[in-house]
Amino acid sequence: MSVRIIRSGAALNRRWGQRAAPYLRTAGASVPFIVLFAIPFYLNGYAVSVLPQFMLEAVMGMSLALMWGQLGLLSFAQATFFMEGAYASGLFLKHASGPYSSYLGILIATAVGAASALLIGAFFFSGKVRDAYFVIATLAVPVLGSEIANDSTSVTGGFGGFTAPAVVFRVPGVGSFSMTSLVSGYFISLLVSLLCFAFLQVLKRVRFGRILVAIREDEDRTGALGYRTAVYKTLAFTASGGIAGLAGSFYLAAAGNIGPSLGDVTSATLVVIWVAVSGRRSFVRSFVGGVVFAWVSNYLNGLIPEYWSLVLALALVVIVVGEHSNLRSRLPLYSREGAGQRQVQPRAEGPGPAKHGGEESILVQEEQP
Amino acid sequence: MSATPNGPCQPKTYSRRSILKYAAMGTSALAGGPLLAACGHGAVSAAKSGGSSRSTGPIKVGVISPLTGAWTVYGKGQLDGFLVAVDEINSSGGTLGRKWQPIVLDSQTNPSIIPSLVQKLVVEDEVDFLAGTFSSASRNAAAPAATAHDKVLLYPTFYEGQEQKYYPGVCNPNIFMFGPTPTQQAWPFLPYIMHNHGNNFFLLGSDYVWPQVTNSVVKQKLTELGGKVVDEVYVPLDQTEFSSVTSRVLASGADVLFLTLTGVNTVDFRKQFYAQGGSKKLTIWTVDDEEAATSGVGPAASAGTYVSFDYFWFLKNSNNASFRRVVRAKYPTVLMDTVGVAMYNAAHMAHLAMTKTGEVSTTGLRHGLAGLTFNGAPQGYPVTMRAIDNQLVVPSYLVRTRPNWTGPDNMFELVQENGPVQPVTAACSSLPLN
Amino acid sequence: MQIFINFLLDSLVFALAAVGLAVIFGLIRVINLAHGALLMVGAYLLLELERNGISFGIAVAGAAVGTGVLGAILEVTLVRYFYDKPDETLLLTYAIGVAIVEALQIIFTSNFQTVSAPFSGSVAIAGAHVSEYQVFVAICTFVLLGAIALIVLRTPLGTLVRATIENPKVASLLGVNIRAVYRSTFVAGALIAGLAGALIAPIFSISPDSGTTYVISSFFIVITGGAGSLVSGTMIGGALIGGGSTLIGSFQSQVVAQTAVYAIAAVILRWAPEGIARKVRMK
Repeated sequence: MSVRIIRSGAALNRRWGQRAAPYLRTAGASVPFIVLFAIPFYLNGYAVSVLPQFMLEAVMGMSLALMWGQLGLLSFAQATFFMEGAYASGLFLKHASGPYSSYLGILIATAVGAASALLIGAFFFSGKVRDAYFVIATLAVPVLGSEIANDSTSVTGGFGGFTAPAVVFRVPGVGSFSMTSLVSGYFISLLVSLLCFAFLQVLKRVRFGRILVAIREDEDRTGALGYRTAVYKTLAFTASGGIAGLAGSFYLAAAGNIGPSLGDVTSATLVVIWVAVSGRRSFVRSFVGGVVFAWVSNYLNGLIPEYWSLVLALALVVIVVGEHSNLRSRLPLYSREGAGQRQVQPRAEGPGPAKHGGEESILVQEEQP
Repeated sequence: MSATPNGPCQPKTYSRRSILKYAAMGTSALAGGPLLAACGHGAVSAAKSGGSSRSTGPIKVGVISPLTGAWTVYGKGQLDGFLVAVDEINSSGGTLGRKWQPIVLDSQTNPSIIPSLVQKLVVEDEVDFLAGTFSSASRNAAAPAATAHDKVLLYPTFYEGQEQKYYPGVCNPNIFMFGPTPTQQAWPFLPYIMHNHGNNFFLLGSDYVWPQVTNSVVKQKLTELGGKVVDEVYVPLDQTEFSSVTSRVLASGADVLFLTLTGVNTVDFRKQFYAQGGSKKLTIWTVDDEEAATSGVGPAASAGTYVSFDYFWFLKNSNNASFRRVVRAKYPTVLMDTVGVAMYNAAHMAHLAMTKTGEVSTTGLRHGLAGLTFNGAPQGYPVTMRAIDNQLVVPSYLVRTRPNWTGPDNMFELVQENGPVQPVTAACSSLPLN
Repeated sequence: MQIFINFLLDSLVFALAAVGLAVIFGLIRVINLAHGALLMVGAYLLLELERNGISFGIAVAGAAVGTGVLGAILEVTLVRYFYDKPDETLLLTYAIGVAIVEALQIIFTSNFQTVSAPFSGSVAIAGAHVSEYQVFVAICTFVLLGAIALIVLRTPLGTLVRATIENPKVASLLGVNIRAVYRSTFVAGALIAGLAGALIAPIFSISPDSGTTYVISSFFIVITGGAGSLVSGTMIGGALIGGGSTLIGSFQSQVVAQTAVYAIAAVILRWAPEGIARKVRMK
């Protein structure tokens, strides 16, 4: 039985010409990381000082891609896990000392992010909360998360924000690397991004990842095959929360100061936007999308500070509409993955949700194996 | 602790050892690369030094204001106040012969994006100093990057005062405060309000640090003067329904409702409080509702309310008359308020400071600003930057909102006026700051 | 008594703010993140009409119609291509919402605005302080919900809409113009949002950005009450989210009230994902 699922997950490999695709794609995926590695050697300080923040936010974007792209469930909670991770490691480091406390801080941040996701996921998934209902349920997370962080002034510093303690990683025999220093902070962030990417990529390839895809395509059938889909969904959510928390702990050190706005609805929505625009099915595209989005916003902001969000909003409309009319599949960059996904089944009916009844809809995706 | 500028080619914040390591790692890739070569190519080879290296060309100023999002209404006034001053400075020849060039960024009312904005301004645009940020949260978010690059930040908003635990956002030699603290804004008028309206206060604020600290400061003085706090309530910044709060206020037996609600909170609350008949039952005193917020509340709901600040648009003095003329000519619709005026003062005082020390640099600004007095402030009194805690000494006014006002020109009437008010010294661990 | 009246009035105000979303999200499943912006369009249209000397009642109606027209334009140009793509409608409506807010800011500046209401006094009912205008809003909400119930349950049009939404394929085989049903539902939702925005404008702040605070509470109202149960669902959701926070806030801190309300909503979502109204009906 499991063989069938694996087959359906690997449906892309069916034709011979596509067999090499995964390897090509892996090679292609490494390009952004090679570029990011080279940047400090060629560009001046600005890129090096802001890219760590952008990369770590983009890692949070990848954690959303795991939920949304692989499992088909949109989550507005990732930014809040990210914020929790930042607070958790920051609070720990403020009170802890010792040569390796920075490492422990990361572990704690990861654990806090994962634990919150586990609690929330177990609560909702065990109750068969699905699709659009899950999306709305996760909307409560940034509302409450930022509210509580804001209210607990004595712990988190509240609205005024929380200033990062020093984060120094000691590697015996090599030296110490501080997050606050320009170059080592940059390469640490890059390394973290790469490791998270590799982890997610492995997760996608192993059986677990294929079961997630099977759940996305048809949860009821996957369940009928004997898989406890609620458990898989909860585990995926936990992993995504852990990654977001981990990225958050490094982000605190890279940004220097964080506050409740890091995990509020605005931040949560922005992640969703860039992951959607760049392509939720691909981790590397979510990652690159996050970095590019932050960079472009920052640039436009300087150019037209009063109108840039209007410009971005209109651009988003154009992108969504353009994607709809298959514009992207005609561009060479997207043709391999994009066209394969999008030209498969034209919708049978005219307007109207493809599936109907009590619990439909957010699960409807364009890719059909 | 600010970073000390090293030699121009010296990496500033990271260890030599880490550079060597990356040099070794990337030898082949860098055969033709500029690693450890001359300054100014890669960040690995040369970190930008904090002290400005340019001595010709325009003086670049990075301005960060909320131009989109919830606090846009304050952000416009804030930005325009600064730009008015920049125009005045530039039309009289600039500073030390150099014109000012403001570089404006939008904070989106979102403190999380501030660190990257500061880095853009400081590293890419190479600004000489920074001005703006609206809330304490955004100031605190800007501080680490500004401090790491040793840049001065001129902060304009009325705020809660300085406490060491919020360093580097406050108690920072590089950050200068041009807005009033609660000890300047509220303390001077407690006796008047208590004498005329009663001793029982209900403290109501938005749920964040400025209302919380302001209320605790006010409570301290109030108790000293023999008054009493009957209740203290904080509401989340996104709350829109206030009937439960209104009922609590009306049932509390308070004489005075002291408001530190801000933005949308204050407008929603005061409209509903008025509609429920609350405004007739007790006296309202707010330390937030300057011209912008009061115009949102509207004439009916705001009539009779006390407001206290260091500046109001209607003030009659010669500085303000010329200030108002320039503002109206350039920005016909902007609501100018205390924050915009603080930005105006900040720009002029930075100009005076650099002129005095003859240096466009962080040290030049710091030494020049410490103890500097500015006579052209629209507040109507000379304002002085204290060297001890970088806090501006400003006057303080208590006004009452007129009924049937039609705009900021006739919105308030003066009740009490205090010349320059010395604030309580900041609670920083090492004073003086400059 | 005071607390009970507060509870009732606040429940109805929140329900009113959410009805437009209940139509758009509850019936045709468009995750409409532009809902808050549509509320503000209604408020600003009221402002503009009042400035031109039009009396309150006509101005409110005009604001509703104007917002409906905007909804129609959006439906025809953009939204109609995405009914079968929920994720895309989410992005699209987010972008539309931001664009509307920015456009309002360019047209009306970012300054707070005020509109005048026909009544501004307060009355005492059994010792409780009650705002006349809030009572007026409550009555309007009742009338609006009653009208919706009548249209949906008692008219041929309502039957058509219900049938189409229940099963578009069959409806289409029976010759129903599905496209028109979806379009009119979306436009009706936008119109109701504009009406709600205009009606609540006198007691809430009006700035281009103010509507965003209603988006999330409205989604929770629709989903806890029960998406698709327009009248009973919205009332129950409004009582839970709006009335609930007022009730708890009368005894507890406001932060506790808000947290508790969303926590309760989460529990309801967990045990009755179809919403309270349907859960009750099924028993």
